[in-house]
Amino acid sequence: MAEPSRCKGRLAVIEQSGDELFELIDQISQAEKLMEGHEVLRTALGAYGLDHVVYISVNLPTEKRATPLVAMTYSADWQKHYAQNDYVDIDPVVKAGIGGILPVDWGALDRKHPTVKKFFGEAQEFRIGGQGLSIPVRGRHGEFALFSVTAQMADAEWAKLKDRYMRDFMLFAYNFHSFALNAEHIEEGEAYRDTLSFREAECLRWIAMGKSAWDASQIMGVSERTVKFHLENARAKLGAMNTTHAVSKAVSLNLITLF
Amino acid sequence: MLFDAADPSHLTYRTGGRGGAIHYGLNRAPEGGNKGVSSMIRLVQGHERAAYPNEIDGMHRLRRKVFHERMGWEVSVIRDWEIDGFDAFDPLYVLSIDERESVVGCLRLLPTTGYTMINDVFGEILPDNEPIVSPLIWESSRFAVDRDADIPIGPNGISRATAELGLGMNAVGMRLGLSHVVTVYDALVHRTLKRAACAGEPIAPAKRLGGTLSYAVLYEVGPETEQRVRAVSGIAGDVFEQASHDRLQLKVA
Repeated sequence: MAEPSRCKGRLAVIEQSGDELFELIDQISQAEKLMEGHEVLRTALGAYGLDHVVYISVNLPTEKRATPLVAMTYSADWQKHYAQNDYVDIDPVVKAGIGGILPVDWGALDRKHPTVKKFFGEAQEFRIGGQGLSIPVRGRHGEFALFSVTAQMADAEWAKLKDRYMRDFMLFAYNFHSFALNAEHIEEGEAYRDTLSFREAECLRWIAMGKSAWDASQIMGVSERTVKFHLENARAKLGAMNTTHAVSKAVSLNLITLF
Repeated sequence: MLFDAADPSHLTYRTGGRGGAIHYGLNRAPEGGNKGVSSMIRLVQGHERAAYPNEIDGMHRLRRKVFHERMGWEVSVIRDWEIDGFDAFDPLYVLSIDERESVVGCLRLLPTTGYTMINDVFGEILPDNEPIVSPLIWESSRFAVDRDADIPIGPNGISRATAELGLGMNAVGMRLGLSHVVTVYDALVHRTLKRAACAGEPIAPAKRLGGTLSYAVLYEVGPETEQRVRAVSGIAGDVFEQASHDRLQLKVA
């Protein structure tokens, strides 16, 4: 995401709105309800040229949820239609994705079965269609989730988007999942998620003070690769998009102090 | 030059110290005097294991052969298989399959966001006992290679299957945008890989786990790792079979 975009049109928007996207990730984590998270995501992903986001989680570790947790930015009409027809049972995306580990491109799904054909036909009537990518999520309670993004774009543009932003989508998928767990009050009291280890904090502090990863490695007496590794863990714990963002979050959360 | 980069459809391997590249065409018998059959990487997602009974069977048998019979480790053995709780989380199996459809090498990948051996079994090896949790860091575990198989071994003692698995793992990582792959392996493996400049970077001092001196190491995913393994092994082309190549490129569900 920090790389300059070489594509014109939609993708170029991301370069300009870099700061906004960090803001949006923050907003996701602070939103208390799943519904707020929708709106934040809708805006965020618009910047990537994406239309919709669908999140579905099964086997969450909570008694109050017997059915899968579903959050989607689709219209209320389609959501109702989907629920009334129990489409979660025949949706080929769900079948291919839940329990899986590799991302699934909707273009690769087998649409020959008449039930599946009907399903996609109806989706088109609700103006849902185009390209789609589903990212499986594995959580720390052994739960599975599936995070999907859709877009209306030509194959060539879609292929480029996937290549360029796969890492971002992986991060989004996991961040949204963490947010959903939080919104469902599943991860309250998970203290370790909010704190950095001594080494992670130390690395962030040196970066905050303008040192490079290499500088930090020399100061700390470890390899540069180890420093990068700590920075990556810190970034993931803080739900940040990159190191700069991680630093600012850590400072604002009082996890590191600058001296 | 260890490999023939001009013709990627042939996989060349220099064996022993005697020189002379041996070409292993994908559909041809080996030329030259040395032994060896060709192999390729097949990806099998755990949740689809029912469609790959031979591969799954071969993998668990190989794991039993290596961990239980050869290494004598305390692993869970059920009849002819080594199989553990992490297989129940439907990992991504990266398998080296020879042209006779035998599994000659294997490893499995799991994201560190879920249950992993390093966080949930070998936690004591981690610095500060801090778990490694990131959607961009996956764990490789149950790495095994059949040393009895007819697979060439390089001058540095690295089996072609090992190199293939390393390239496969790295390619999966690159496709998914991963930053690192973490793994725990024993000190002997570390020493062998180090000689070939293919060892991971230890993230903690070696520790005795269940009696075996082990390292938790980190591999940085990317083109540099790919170049290093290719240079050491002489593998020039795509290590994936077509179907797995397509699946990784998200062309087949």
